Amino acid sequence: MSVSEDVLNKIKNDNVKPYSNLWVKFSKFASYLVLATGITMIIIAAGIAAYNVIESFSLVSMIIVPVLIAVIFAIFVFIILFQKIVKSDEFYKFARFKFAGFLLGLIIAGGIIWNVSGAAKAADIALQENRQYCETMKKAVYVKWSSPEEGYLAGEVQEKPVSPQTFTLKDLRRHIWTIQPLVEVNFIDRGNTVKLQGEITGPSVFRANHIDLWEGKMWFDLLDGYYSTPEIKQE
Amino acid sequence: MENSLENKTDEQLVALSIENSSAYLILMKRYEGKLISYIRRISGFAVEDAQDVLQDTFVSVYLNLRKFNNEYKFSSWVYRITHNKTISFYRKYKKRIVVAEEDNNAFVELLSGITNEEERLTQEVLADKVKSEILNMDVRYKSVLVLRYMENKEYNEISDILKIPVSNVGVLINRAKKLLKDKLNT
Repeated sequence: MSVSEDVLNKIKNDNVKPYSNLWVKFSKFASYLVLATGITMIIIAAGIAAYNVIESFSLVSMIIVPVLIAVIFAIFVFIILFQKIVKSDEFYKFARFKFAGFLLGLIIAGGIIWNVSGAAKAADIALQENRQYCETMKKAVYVKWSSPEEGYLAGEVQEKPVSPQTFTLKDLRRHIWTIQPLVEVNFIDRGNTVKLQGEITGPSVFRANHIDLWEGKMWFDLLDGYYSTPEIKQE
Repeated sequence: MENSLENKTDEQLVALSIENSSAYLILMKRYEGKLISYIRRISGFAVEDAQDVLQDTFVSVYLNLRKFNNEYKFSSWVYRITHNKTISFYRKYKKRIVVAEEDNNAFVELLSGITNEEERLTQEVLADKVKSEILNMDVRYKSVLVLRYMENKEYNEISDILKIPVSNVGVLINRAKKLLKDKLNT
């Protein structure tokens, strides 16, 4: 008896029927669901990690852009990598469902290893240490540029300087100053953040003999965000 | 009844097989010989083992008839399932598999696709060596060589069977030929 006849007998004797349309659709849906769950877990994990970093460091303005770019980049890399795997020479060996399960297993195993091996704790400690360092840096910068009595003042220009050349400035503590510049101020515009060196000449009046635009607006936003929180203001 | 079924295309028989198992018998008979050869050529299985793989393949094909996509050729689909079953069977029972004697003519045919006129003079002598080298090759190379030169499949069919881009088929074939040639020259 040939293999074909053998199989036909088996089909008839065991009353074997092809899988129903419903089953075919369900199995396809289930495989995509597992796959989508795996991908979603990765994206959520990346999102939570990025959010934690931003939250821990209070780096809202300073690093949110690079972090978001990094997260988006990571997602793109993942998608490209995934496409590459699916289209690779070896992928034909995997059934879609098996691959989806494998991916999910890999994510779960990765999470377990990440926690059990102590890598998660080490990363947390490193994060806390860096956070302290970052806060120290922020405080030092703030203290220096919030010392008008020592000749250093920084803040946001409230209006474009006009003749006579005085302008108002909101400093890092949100105090309003009248600035009397002794140098050219054509380059300053409303909303600019500037660093001034000079001296106090009267109540809320500062004479500036050196004015610079703050290099990197993000630093100012960082300080602004940092010192506008109530507990830090009390210091 | 069977005569009228004989004239149907593979794809028509697939549609009929869902309700009528006799139509499936015709379909199986069409491919039985070809698939047994294919299984043996890429695995080196003895006839009995190849028949086991084929039986498993046919049952699997029958169960999944509704999954068949009419955009592809049935032959590509059935070769693909056979290929996967063979690889899986090979991995599972590697230790107990006995490499079988295969008709050398097929390997001579393969050889003619990769050697020049002068080299063909010694083809018969080389056939045994070719067979053993092919069986020892990586499954990717082995599969493309067998499909192209022994099963006479086109690049797009090989692409469908192995689920690799058509552009990669040519690359794989060239690499496999070079590899085989190098091995034969050593």
